[in-house]
Amino acid sequence: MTQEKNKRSTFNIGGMSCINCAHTIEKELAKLNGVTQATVNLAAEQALIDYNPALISQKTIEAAITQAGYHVIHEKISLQVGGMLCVNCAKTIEKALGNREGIYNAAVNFASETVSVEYNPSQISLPSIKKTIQDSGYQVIEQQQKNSEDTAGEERKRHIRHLKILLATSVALTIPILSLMWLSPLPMEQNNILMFLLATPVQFIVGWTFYVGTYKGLRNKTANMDTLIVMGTSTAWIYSTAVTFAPATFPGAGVFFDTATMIMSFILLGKLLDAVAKGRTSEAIRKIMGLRAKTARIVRNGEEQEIPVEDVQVGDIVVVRPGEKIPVDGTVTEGYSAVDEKVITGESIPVEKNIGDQVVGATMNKTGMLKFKATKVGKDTVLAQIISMVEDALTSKAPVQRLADIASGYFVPAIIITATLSALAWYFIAGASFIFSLTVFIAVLIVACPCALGLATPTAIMVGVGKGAENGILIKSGEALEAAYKLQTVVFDKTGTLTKGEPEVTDIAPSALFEEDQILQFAAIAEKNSEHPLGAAIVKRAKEKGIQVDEPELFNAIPGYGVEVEHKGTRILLGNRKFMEANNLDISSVEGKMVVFEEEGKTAMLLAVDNQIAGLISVADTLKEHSADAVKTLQQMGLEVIMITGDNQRTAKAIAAQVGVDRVFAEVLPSDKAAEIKRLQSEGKIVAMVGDGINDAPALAQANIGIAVGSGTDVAIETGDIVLIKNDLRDVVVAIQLSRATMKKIRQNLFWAFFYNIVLIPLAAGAFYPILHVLFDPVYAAAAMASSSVTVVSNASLLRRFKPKI
Amino acid sequence: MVKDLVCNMDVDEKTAKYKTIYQGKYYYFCAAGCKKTFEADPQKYISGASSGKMGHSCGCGGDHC
Repeated sequence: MTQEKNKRSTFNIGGMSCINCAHTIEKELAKLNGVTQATVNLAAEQALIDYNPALISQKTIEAAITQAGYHVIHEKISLQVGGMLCVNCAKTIEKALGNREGIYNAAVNFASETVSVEYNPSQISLPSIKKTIQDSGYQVIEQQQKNSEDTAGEERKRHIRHLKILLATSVALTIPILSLMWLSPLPMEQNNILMFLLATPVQFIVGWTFYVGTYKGLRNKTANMDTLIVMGTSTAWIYSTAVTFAPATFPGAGVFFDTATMIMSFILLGKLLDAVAKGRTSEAIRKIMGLRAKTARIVRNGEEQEIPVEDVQVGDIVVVRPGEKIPVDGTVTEGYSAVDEKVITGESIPVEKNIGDQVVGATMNKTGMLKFKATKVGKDTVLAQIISMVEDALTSKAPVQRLADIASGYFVPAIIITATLSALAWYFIAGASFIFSLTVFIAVLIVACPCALGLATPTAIMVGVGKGAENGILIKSGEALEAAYKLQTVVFDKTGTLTKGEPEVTDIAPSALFEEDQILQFAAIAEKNSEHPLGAAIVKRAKEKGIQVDEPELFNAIPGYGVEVEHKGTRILLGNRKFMEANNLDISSVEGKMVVFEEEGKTAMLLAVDNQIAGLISVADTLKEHSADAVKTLQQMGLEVIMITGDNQRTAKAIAAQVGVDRVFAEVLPSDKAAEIKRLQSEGKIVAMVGDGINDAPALAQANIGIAVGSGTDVAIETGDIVLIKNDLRDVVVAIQLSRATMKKIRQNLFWAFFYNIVLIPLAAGAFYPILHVLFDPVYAAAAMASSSVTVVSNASLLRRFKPKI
Repeated sequence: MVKDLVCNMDVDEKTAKYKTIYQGKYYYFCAAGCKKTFEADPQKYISGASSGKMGHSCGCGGDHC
């Protein structure tokens, strides 16, 4: 057991080209003492590492990643520093920064009075970097900073640009090779030498990246995608070079420099398309990350000043003008405005904000000026939490991916063996020509595509999770996605989930002598001082209808009976049957109606004014606007819908009838809800539980999918596999549909990835040659291989078109 | 006039500000404290009424006591 708490850090990783790279890094990290878990997401180009800082430093972790042949992408920031007098000052700052964990490099330029810091943002924040500089005795001069947060995006762009240059070079050299090949304008020997001169740069300059990849792989004792490409193309190049310079040894043999260069071109094209498509799949995620406001205007010492958002502290008064982004979370202290919270909730109708209301960072202030007190900043804001949840989700794997992971681990060695055996079999057993066997060997190596296997899941999860986040639906795990696919039963908690969770007046039934509004007024006066929620509902309704609610002169709450008040000489009684009986009042005139209300699960109260029954007022917890819609759609999707509640059978049945659920579990103690879910699971059902995330936490955890329904921005992020930010049950439907759509994409992708390899590898090996008499040209193999991973990634990005059906 | 069963004071049921119901029957009190005390354990005071030995012991506060 270790004493210190584990830390979790995200590292942006560069240099990964395929799933094997991700595996290599995971394997290397797993070997390290102190690392408890490491998950690498290829599509997001991130590693999520749980480690014990007492046993291992972040530098050691990064060294291991570098050792494995990849690099950690660092954030870079340049700060203006004041107060430096001499070169020695610069050294002091460098030293102070160098001692902080999370800082890789700090270089002070004395002349320009700047310090450029390279750091890992998941370990050290910008404010603490600034504080370190200040603590060492210097000032950080605030200025409009360059946006440093999209370093990963920059890296991607650079990568794409690099690939484009390589591809253009490769194509430019391949075209003359093809013309030489087909037109043979020169005598064969000169022709071959010319082709050699053109092909060699492609092989070793353009193709250098593959050699580097292979070398890295070998150093880690793994073979990867690059290994296959290098083996395939080098074989073609070596053979052709041998034919070119020692034609006598290979009488009558032709060269195939074109094959090697075309393979390179196709594979680069594939990589390029891949990189572009990967960028697209992460678009939604990057959009969320880019939502953060950059600066905030705060009031300090009575003056407004603009500061970077990182520097806002809890308790600061923040000023937001119309049309500006709200920088951090807080409580409104002054002003009134409408705020567009679409970025957080997915709800496009602006929400009115008054003094005392909560505002959320990254939302847009529309109409008025607001001043608010910052309550959550930095990592604690709702947006920051959403981002970290999404990041976690990206590295989670659906269980179905495990098969692909296992397969891709053995994939490359298996391919090399297959290629070698097929070539040998053709040459020695079937007696085929050397060139035929060589073609088979190259084709098999080139056609095999472990990338498609590796990308199948992460790309789909990335699009699905991003799409959800856009709509206020946070999907937290791959397991939830897979479970959504097999889901049979959805259990809803009643109070606060299907219903609003607070009672409201549903019916008013006056007796002959009174009007509805009079009943409401008397009842409201009677309940004015009551602390009972039922009373509060009556007072609220009266106020909504603009009825004046006076303070009664005398107030008596009588437990178990009702309330008795006197107002302007009028005696008002509001309570149950027993109360009226104790006052010798005859309720037979309203008894019939009262029973009807009670059958409907409502709480009916009798009102008596000056010893005369005046009427009935009934109060009940009512359904949320869209509950019935949501239940109906789920049923149409073939799911069984169950309601679970602590309420008595009668109330439960009444609500169940209104909302239209199939089954009701009533009188279930909150502590027994999880047991009920377990019982359903023991019937062999895959169960989703929908609840408020606080009282229902154990049941949410027990269910195969826990769906926590938030209210507005008050998100219970910890519980649930799926968190709904909006308090709208139709999002349950959307979440399940989206999970299913994502899972479907994952399955399609895995199917295509496996199918592609299963069909094309035998074809490349010449297995169909005896029947079809065609041999798979290595050039086509390269085209097919390039297109397969592009297909998988593009297929995943089709998920961006997902539209819920409700 | 009726008795406040908690503090044994005489209370006018027509003007009494504090009252409650127990087992269908009204009881009247001098002040809020007595009412609360009664509601907490009515049985004790109902049986106490028959013995008539409660005395002025409620410590209920309020100017009636």
